[in-house]
Amino acid sequence: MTTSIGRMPAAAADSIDRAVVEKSPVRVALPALQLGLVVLLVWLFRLESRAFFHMMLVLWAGFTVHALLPLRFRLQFYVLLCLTSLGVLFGTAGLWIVALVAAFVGLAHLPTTFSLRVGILVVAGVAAGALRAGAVPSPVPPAVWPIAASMLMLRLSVYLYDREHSTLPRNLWRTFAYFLMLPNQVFGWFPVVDYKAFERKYYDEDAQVIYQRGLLWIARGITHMLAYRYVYAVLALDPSDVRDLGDLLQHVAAAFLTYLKVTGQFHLIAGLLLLFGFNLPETNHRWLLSTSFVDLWRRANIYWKDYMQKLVYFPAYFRLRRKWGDTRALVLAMILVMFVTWLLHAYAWFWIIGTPLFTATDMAFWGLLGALVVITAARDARGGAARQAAARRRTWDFGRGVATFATCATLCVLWSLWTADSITDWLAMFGAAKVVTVGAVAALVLVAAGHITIAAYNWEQAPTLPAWARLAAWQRQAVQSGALLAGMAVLALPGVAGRLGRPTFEVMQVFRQGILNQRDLAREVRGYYENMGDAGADLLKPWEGTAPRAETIIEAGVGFRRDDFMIYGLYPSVSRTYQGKRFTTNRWGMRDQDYELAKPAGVRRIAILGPSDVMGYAVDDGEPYEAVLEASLNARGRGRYEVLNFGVQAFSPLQQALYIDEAVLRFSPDLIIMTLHNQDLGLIARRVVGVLNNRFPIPVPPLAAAVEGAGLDSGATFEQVYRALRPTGDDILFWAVDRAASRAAQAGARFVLMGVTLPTERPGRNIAAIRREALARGYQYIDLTDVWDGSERKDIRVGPWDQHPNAAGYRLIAARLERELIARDSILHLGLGQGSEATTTGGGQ
Amino acid sequence: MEDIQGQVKQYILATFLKGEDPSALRSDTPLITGGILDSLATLELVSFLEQKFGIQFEAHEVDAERLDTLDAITAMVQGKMARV
Repeated sequence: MTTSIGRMPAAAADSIDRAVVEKSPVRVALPALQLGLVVLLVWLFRLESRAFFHMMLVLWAGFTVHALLPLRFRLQFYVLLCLTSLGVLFGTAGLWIVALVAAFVGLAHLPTTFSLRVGILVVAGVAAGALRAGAVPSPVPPAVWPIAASMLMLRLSVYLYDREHSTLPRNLWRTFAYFLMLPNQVFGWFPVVDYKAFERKYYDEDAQVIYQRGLLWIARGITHMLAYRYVYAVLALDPSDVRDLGDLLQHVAAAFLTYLKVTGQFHLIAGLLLLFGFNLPETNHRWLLSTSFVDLWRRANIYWKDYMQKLVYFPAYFRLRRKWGDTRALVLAMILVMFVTWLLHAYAWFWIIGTPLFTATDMAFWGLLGALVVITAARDARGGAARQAAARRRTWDFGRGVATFATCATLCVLWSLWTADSITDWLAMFGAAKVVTVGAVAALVLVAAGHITIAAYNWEQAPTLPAWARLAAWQRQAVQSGALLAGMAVLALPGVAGRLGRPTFEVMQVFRQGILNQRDLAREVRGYYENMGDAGADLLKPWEGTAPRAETIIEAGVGFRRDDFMIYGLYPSVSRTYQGKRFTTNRWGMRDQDYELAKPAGVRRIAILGPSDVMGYAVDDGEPYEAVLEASLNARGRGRYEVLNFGVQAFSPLQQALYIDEAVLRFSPDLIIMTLHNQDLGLIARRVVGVLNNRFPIPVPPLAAAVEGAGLDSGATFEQVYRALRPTGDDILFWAVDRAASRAAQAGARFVLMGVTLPTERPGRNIAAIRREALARGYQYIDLTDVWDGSERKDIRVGPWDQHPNAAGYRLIAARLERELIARDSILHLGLGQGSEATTTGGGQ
Repeated sequence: MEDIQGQVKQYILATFLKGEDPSALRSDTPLITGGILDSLATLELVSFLEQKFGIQFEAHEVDAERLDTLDAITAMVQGKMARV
């Protein structure tokens, strides 16, 4: 059913089908079956957290019972389901959440004036804020705050406002359903649901219609969440790595597309609420087709838009218009809305994360976005709205397409500002636009043409379907969501993606694994919504168990901070628990068994240098690959081998090169292996920040020259250092390689470079370029960047938030390294035999 | 009632739905939830209603519950006029 005027809401369009639906025998079975597929997908793709999976199981069972209950019992059952889920997910901590919600709701219902209740709640909020910030001792477990705060921090104000003006009788079941909403329990960043909509739209349509719409949103939400994983893991590019126009375009586009995480979660959340009769409107409706900034404001997080409209925009407008007139009042009210939006985002950040958020990039982002929204709104207020409404009804309108592309392109740029470390860094990044490549221009033209064409079509028009396809709206939605969910489930089944070719397999690998990308691996920084969305993770068990807190070697008492360029060292002869594992050093300060300084007769020694993955981070003694390799070489019975671990956390190739003189050569090694990583330049930059802050001398001439040339000094940021080092990065790196090789040669040891990546890291262009350069210089190079191929990443890494290899991962490295050494024996002369199998990855050094 | 609804309908057609078939705008056509009136247009409508019928709106009265259809608008205006 369609109308020629406006966008017919699904509610009205579906009403005609109600009689058909009431008679349907699949009233509960069909949505329950689809919800089962959703639960399966959550498990197959490891979506969100293990707690989310548990909640979905509760919700699946609860939905079936809830849908079969008479309407008058459903609200009570829903509240009981929320409480049950809290108990299942949080145990006794769930009681704190219920207590905090009950306390604030109780204050909101005190039998006194509205103003006094608001005042009391503000005072209580400030007191809770002091507890949240840790300013005063708190009995509340810290991990409770993100979830409890997300239930109360904004919803309480709209609840108060709506109850004050509501004509409906008070219903405490509805009140607790509103605050304890089931999906909120696993989502820290939760949409601000409008209480009046929550109250009045409860089962205001046929249940089947509401359920089916919810399931379609859930299916869409899952596709957005998977798309986000791809954007985040593959497309997102660190600003420091932006070198030309192509990189810049990729960076800004990926920055904006990380919003898919929010749209995915919000679709999922709203869809789940619909399954319990709360017939809320759709958020983020075709947000990539926004024709203006005001249009985006109306499409994106419409719950936020409604919240601001109700509590700020309309009240401000009605107060201001008497003095300023309608148009000025509209503009001033809009300015106030954007200001309060920025303020409340910072406020929400405090409650969810626990620290204030007042950064220049945040203020600049909201200031610029606010200005654009206000300018567009002012234009619309002068009569543009009617013109736009008419334009919206045309089937094809390329002006609309161009406006949409321009809006999105601007938002991409703004979003990149929001996620930048500083405005200076953000502006410097745009210098890369001067390096124009044909590929970048072609990509831009293709993307623009595609986006403009898609956006030129009026997707809000009801499609003209052939007679056989004219199903009721809910039936169409059932076909869409069923096909989407079943399709994703089939693709996610083990073995299926592999049969569809390597590209499909690799994309599915990204979909199935929530991984850190290069940027975050290097800098441990994530965006606003990403951090907010992951809040509460302390309580919500991640899929692969909870990793030990990331402690440093200094905190664990196994390492110490040095007063020179090396930064860190390991204590000799200590045995302590580090990252939950036994960590023992020998008398020489190596994470290894004890060795005599003088090489015993008949023994061949291999020294391996590198950072934490060589040292053996988060594995027990005997499990680093150096130890596994030694045991395996000796087990072959072709001689005695000692493999010496010279790995120290955070050692870049520069520290490795210097460490050869300091610690390695006195052990008379026959072979020295220097390890190279994809993010070595980032590692060097991080160390340089520390070196500059401590005013340590820099014993690396090309590095010292680069630092001096860029005028870097104490207080320099990572971005500044990284950008300064990048032009001469290869010179700096190969200064270390050449020096290490030279020292090895002088001592009569062979020298090998080894390129490695972390299990979830995609081999980037950095390591590939280093390999090419190393081979060109004639070095022996062992490329282990493909060592993880064919392994499930979750089986070989420490945990979801720690990308180092685990013991199984180290065994893979050791086995591969052993094969590579055997294959090169004719060059390395380690007595491993089979020298004729030497591979061709470089000449001898 | 017919007079109020007719005047409001005429205003909406002339201001926000130029060129549309008047018969397509029914008394129960959703205006706000259907995407015809956004927040700016809703405030324009409120200004029109205030001036035309000599009534005053409060901020909390501007919502889909009271202004989503011609029927709801008419009832709202009638209620306010009765209190004037």
